[in-house]
Amino acid sequence: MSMKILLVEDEPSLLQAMRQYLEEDGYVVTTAATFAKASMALNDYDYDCVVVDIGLPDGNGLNLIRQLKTAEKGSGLIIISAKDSLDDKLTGLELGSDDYITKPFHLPELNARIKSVLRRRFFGGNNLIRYGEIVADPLSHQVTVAGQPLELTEKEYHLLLFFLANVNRLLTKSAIAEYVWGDHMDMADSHDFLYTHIKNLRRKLIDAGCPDYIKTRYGAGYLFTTP
Amino acid sequence: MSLLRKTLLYLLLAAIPVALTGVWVFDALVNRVIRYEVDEQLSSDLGYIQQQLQTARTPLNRGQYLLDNPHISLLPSGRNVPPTFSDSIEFDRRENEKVPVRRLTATVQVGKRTYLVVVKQAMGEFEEIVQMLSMSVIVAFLALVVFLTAINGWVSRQLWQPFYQLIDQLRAYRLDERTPTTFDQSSIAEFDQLSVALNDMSLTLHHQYVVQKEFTDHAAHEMQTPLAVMTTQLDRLLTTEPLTEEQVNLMEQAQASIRRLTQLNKSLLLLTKIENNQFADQQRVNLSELLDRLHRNFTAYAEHRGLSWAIQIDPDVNRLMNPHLAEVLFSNLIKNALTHALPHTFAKMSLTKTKFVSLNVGPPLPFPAEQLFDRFVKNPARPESTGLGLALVKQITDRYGMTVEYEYDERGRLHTFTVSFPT
Repeated sequence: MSMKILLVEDEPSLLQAMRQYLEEDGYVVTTAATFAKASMALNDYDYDCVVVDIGLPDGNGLNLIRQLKTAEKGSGLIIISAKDSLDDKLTGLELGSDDYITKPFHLPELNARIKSVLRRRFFGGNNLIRYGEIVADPLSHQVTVAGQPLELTEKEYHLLLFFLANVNRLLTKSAIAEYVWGDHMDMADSHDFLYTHIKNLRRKLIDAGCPDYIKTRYGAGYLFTTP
Repeated sequence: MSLLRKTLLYLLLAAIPVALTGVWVFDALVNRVIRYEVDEQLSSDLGYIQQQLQTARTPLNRGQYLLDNPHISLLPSGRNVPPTFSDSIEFDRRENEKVPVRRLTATVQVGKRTYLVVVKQAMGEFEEIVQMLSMSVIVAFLALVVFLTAINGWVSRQLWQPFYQLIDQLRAYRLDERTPTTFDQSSIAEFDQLSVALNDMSLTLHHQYVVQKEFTDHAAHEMQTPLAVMTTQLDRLLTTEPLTEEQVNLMEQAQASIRRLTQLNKSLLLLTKIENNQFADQQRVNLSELLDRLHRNFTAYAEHRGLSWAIQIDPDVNRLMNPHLAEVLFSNLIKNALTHALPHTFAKMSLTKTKFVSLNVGPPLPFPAEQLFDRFVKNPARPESTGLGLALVKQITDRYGMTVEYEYDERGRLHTFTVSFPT
């Protein structure tokens, strides 16, 4: 059964881009561009995950979260904010949002976060992530390949999870760097650094007996796919 | 020189010639009056002698001439002399000194005899009186000047008091205060006008400052949404097929630029927020733990750059700071050292209760060292850096009363950053 997602965002082109990207990943997506529409949608239907921009023109998105929490529908919740402000983040997390993402963000990153929230919401995080012979446990951060444990550094683990959330998608170096390092890596040679990490991960996977899943595409991005 | 002193100086400069001329005029006037009175007295004495001579018809008793005043002698020629006044100096036996004398010489006709009469009046006493008078006038005048000066000083101080108060307020004026500064009113119209004008200015400036601050804040926030649209549209574009290598490269470059712009925007916003005092909440931050965590985060990067990175952390170094700013401060310093260190050299850091020191090997700065902590100052060889990292470091250290110092050792090509904590 495919997961139902409600996207609340007042910027039409952003809303459109998010919807298409998520639909391609098999979600059933409903969109709302205003507070009123979002409030109505929340009343009428149940969603597995709600993604809310809290800077809506006709009302504070935080109120939508309050409404959602009062209804106790058990939906996952991700806040989008233009403000990288701690206050919003804290209020959001206090109100029970599962994650917080700051504009601008990459669609693969949103996708990875939605997957993670759904996993935590509906499987208590116990749901193992599988791809071929790879099994990753989001609780213990343990990865096994064909039953054999695979030693990965923390960054390599995050990198693998990001790839697994966006299988068959072209991921640019920028999108990967943003997800794996966030604010910590605005450095000049972050792309070289990224290359080193991906190279290491790729070698470890191959050494463990996986096919060569990670492909360089056009010299500007990577693709995780079955060869 | 203060306005008060200047006023007093001019007052004195004006008073001195007035006093000198005044004393001279007074002296001359008193002298003239006394001489006139003495001459009148001598004339009246002469009249009296003439009368006596005419009544007595004989030369007066010799005993009367003891002092040789009046001096009466018979003029054999019978020549008439008109009354003449003259000054001379005579020896006063009693006072045993020479004294100025006013004398009146005249002839008196008594019958057929002609007497020459000389009446004298010693002027010494009068001159002393004149001197005394002049002295008293000078003393009185000086006293008046002193008194006026004092009064003027006191009055001026009272009058200028509101002015000095305004200056004190202006000196303490800060544009970035929460509420606009209000300048005190004054009962003196001119100063009140000044205060009103200053209040208007302060309000306008404050308003403009707030508007500008909000502008930066809003501009930075408003930029986030278009940046998000660009990012997601490029992400969408990347999912379309078929793509050529050139197209993907162009998109990747665009994404890298968006990422840079986002970083720039975040740093600017952070600077603005620190300036706006939006990080007022403080708590005890365990810097030892923070640095330990940062060390773990950046180890892979140091290895990637082939750096041997040693960090010496004293346990339980605590500071009262905003935790977010503490992280920005130290991660920026570490990033700075690790990014600018020459590959395959070393970086050394240490944290103690009093300071944090970071050492790295690198070529000399391509710009003057005093610009190092300025905004948008960066190595031309690294155009992709935001040039805000060290500006943030400076802003944060300033905020918490810490100092950050930079030194370069030419021989070892060592860059040293020292953050000293206040005690």
